[in-house]
Formats: sequence, structure tokens, C-alpha cells
Amino acid sequence: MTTSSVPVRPTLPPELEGAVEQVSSLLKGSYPLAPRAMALLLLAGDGEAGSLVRQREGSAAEEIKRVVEQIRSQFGEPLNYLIMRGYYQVAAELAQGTVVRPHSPLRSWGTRLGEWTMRPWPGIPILLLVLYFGFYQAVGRFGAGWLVGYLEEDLFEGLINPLVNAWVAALPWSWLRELIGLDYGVITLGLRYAVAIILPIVGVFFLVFSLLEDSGYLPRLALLADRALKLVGLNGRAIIPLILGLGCGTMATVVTRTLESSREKLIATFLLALAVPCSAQLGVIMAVLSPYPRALLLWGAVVVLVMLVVGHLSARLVPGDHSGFYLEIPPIRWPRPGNVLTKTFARMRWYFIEILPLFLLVSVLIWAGRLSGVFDLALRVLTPFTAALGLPPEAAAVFLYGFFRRDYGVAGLYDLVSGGILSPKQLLVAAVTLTLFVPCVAQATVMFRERGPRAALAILSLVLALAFGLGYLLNRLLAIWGPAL
Amino acid sequence: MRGCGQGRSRRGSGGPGFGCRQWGGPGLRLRGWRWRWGRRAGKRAGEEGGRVPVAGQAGVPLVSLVEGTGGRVIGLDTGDPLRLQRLLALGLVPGVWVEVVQRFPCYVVQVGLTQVALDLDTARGVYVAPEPLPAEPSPPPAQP
Repeated sequence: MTTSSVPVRPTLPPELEGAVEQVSSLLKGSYPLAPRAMALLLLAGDGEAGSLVRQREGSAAEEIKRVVEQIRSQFGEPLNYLIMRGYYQVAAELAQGTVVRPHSPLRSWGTRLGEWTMRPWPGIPILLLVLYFGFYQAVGRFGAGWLVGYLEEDLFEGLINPLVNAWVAALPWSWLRELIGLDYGVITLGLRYAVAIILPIVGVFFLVFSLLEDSGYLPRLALLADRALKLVGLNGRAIIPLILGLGCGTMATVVTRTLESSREKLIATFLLALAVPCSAQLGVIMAVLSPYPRALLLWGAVVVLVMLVVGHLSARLVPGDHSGFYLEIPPIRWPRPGNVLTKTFARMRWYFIEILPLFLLVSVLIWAGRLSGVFDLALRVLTPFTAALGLPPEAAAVFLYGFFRRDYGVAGLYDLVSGGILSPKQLLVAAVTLTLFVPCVAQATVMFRERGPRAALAILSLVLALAFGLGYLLNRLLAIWGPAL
Repeated sequence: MRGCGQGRSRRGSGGPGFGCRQWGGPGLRLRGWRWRWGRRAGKRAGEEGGRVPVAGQAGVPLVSLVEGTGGRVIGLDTGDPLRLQRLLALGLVPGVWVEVVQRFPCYVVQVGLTQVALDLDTARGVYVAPEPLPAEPSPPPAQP
């Protein structure tokens, strides 16, 4: 420890240092940051620092504000720019004396891969491969197929549910039996749903997402998607919530916080509620429609078309400026397994803590709704609408439960198909309408929390109208055009 | 120069060699309304609209460079103080040397050891003085 232990105190150009000194000497209150840092934030025009000073300084705040304004007007350039330029000068001087760069850096495979993934060719084929293996194979086949099959069928249906049902059979009151066990009980529905269906799917999804995040691929995805997302009033940055929405719309709606303007947050929340099916829903739709490949294709085409048209319209109608797209592109790296696992588990834990109570609540709501007769009333209200879509009355229950469990609605279709009640065309209409139909209770709750009641109600009623309107239109079109499905 | 594109859109707010772009065509009223709304929300009173240096800049917008060439950043014109702050934080500070890595679907520029992606609109507001590649990859910013 003989050399280079001298602490380096970076200094800005003298005129800026003078201004910082002047402002920090006026700060008397206690702050979470050093007075120098507070002074720099105030001079740069940071809003949060300003309101903190108003809280902590009382009557002196006005004087401080006046001094800051006076200093600002003395400089010909915005102070945030001058401060930032000062930082870069200090950093460059430090780097010049300490950093040695190789003279002819060889382009490594990482660098090449980094360049390839940014260009349309071969970036877009790579993107399709990532989506296919990362999402379809890993999340869809492994998570939603194999893991859910094991946990739900073997563990719950085979072991836990029979045990619970045998136990509640001993209870004297039927309302209590139904609250805990049987078809819609807290344990047999709520807990099973959260643990056996949602947890494995989002767990695998979080793992894939953390891998992509740590490899540096996500910003490249944003870059490639930027132009397409501009069509719907968003920019490349919004690809992250939209991709997350394919996993879980609830979480994706929370992540719209990372978008820059309230205009983008609103559009992204709206599109997530309308046209982005979550993994639970996606898995069941694939299963229900896969015997009819043409219907599956039509379903995909209709949903993408709705997303583009509705997104484009909302981009034109929602007020606010387009926000520009600018993002740092990190180099492609090998993800560290430790980091990936830590992130995955932290997200799963957060998700479980947030979502498990909601699912338990949902099963209680279904129980209360059935017991009190509210559901029967709601079913009678819905029946004319499903009739307008050309669907049998049984489909009304599918829509109602679809709000409580987004995939349950679609799974209910499965029973209708195997019972021979729905034709392939009716199935297509129902699948499209259910995909567009209002999101699950959890996502609606988060929409209220993140966007406020006014925006959330507007989105929900618009989604409801669009889902039934477009379902009706599709039904009529299929009747006229009538391709064999 | 300030008057050129002012009060219309950040897209066309001038700069030598770039000219004035006029708004026109369908959607004019709606866009104007939207623009004003965004402006009201984004701009702080008494502050220049996200442009450095405030007075006088020469050179060409980044979009006129071809891939593999570069230049020294001499000015930024973003139309919004917050956006200016973010670009500065990414290292796009007047005085640094940048190289255009790719132009489509987004601009990607090499700034020192960092790569930054910019869309067309943002790249139009970055003004550079074209220069051949220096021996040292990232020289310190020029003294003001």
C-alpha cells in the first residue's frame, strides 16, 4: 500500500465548483445525500431534490431556489449539460493515465454474435429461434406441459385433492365443504391453481427471461422491434413488458412502469389487457385448437391484426408526444448461473407472495358468487351476448369463469368441444373472444393500482366492447366466407 | 436558427445543412394538439428545450454519415430537457468521438467502449463534425 492509495477527489471546472460551494453552504437540513451531491442535483434541475429541499428547509427553501435560479441564469448553457461534461472530462483524464487498451483487438465470437443479433439479417432468424426454443419449447412444452402435468395431475388430482375431499366430507355444513374442497374450494382450486399451474409456468418463464437479460440479448430485441412497435405508438423499450405479458399479464402490467411517458404506459397496459394472451391461456388455446391447424392460424392472425389496428388507432388518439428510443447496448456475455438463479428465485418469490393471496381470494369469490346466486344472475346477463356470437348458452359460464381464471375459460371450451357442443367455427369465435376478453382478476387489480381507477375502467369497458364486437364480426364473416376449418 | 423549426416539432428544428421541415398533410391538427400536450408536460419553465450548446452549431446530423465512418459530437438537439439528460448520461456529450456501427433498423453508434442504439428521430438531433478515425479510440472531450 505504498502507491496509488491517494484518494482521488474529482473536481469540476472552477466556475462550477464555486456554484456548488455556494449552494451547498445554504443547505442546513439533514439529507440522505452529502450536501455537495444535493447541490449538484439542485443545480442540474432535479425535481425530487427540489421537493426534498422544500420539505427540509422550510422558509429558507425560497431563498435557495432563488440562488439556484440566479446561478443558472449566469451560465449560457443548461447546467445539467455542463456538469455532465465536467464528469466526462474528469473520467477521461483518469482513464488516460490508468487504462491500457490492446492495439489490435481481435473480434471475438461474442462481438460477432453481438453484431449479428442487431441486424435484421441474421438477427430476425436468431430472434425467431430464441422465441421458439426459449418460449415455445421451454415455457410451453416443458413448463406448461410436463411440469404442470406432473404437479397438477399427479400431485393435486391424484393425491392432495382426494385427501382434502375425503376430509371435508366429514364436515357437517355443505357451504364449508365447498369453501375448502370440492370443485371450487380454497385448497382444491385456489392453492392448486397457484402452485400447480401458475408457479411452474412462470418459474420456467423467469428462468428464460433472466438468461436473456444477463446475456445482453434483451436490448438487441428492443432494437430490432423498435420500428414495429412504433406502429402501435410504443417504442423498442416496450418489447420487455409485452414479452413478459406472454408469461403473465399481471406482472407485465407492473413492468410497464419502466416505460418513459404516461402515454406509453397507457397504451402498453391497454394492449396487454386486450391482445396479449398469457402463458396459461396460450397453453390451453394451443391444446384446444391444435386439432384444427387452420383455425389456430386464423386465431393467431386475428389477434395480431387486432393488436396492430387497435394499437395504431390508440397511438393516434392517446395524447402526448412520441418518445424517442435510445438504449445502451451491452456486449453479449455468458450469463453467470449464480446470478440467473438468484434473480429467478427472487422473482418467483415476489410473484408467489403477490399472487397467491389473489388466487385464494378468487376461489372465495367464486364460492360466494355461486352460493349467493350472483353468478346465476351474471350468467343470465351474459347469455344473450354469447348467443349473438353464435355460441350455445353453456358458453356464458366459460366467459364468466374466464374472468376469474383466464385459462379456465378456455379449458371450459375443451369440455364443450369434447362433448360435441361446439363446432370448430364456434370454437374459433369463442377462442378469439376469450383471448381479447377482459384480463383475469389479478391483472385488473394491478391495472387499477398502476393506472388509476379512471384509466382502468376505461380500458376494461373498451376491452369488453371490442372483444364482443370483434367476436360478433368474426362470427358473421365466417358465416359468409365459410372456409372449412 | 432557433425560429426555424421552433413551435412545430423537434424533428425539424433546424441546424445548418439540415433545413426546415414543414408540417403538412393529413393529421396536422391532431398532431399539433398532441405535440402541445406533450410539450406542456415535459418542459420546465424558463429552460431551453433540451438543446446543447444553446447557441450556434455547425456540422451535420449523425444520420448523414455512412456505416464505418465517424465524427466528433458537437451538439445535441432533443426538444426535451429530460431526453437531453438521458442522452448525456449515455455518453453522447459534445466533444466525444462517435462511429456509426449500423443504420438499420436503428442507428447504433460506438461511443468510447459503449454501444448506443438510437432511433431515426433521436439520431437526427445529434450533430457531428465528420473526422477520420483517431488513433486512440476514445479521446477525452475537448476543452470548452
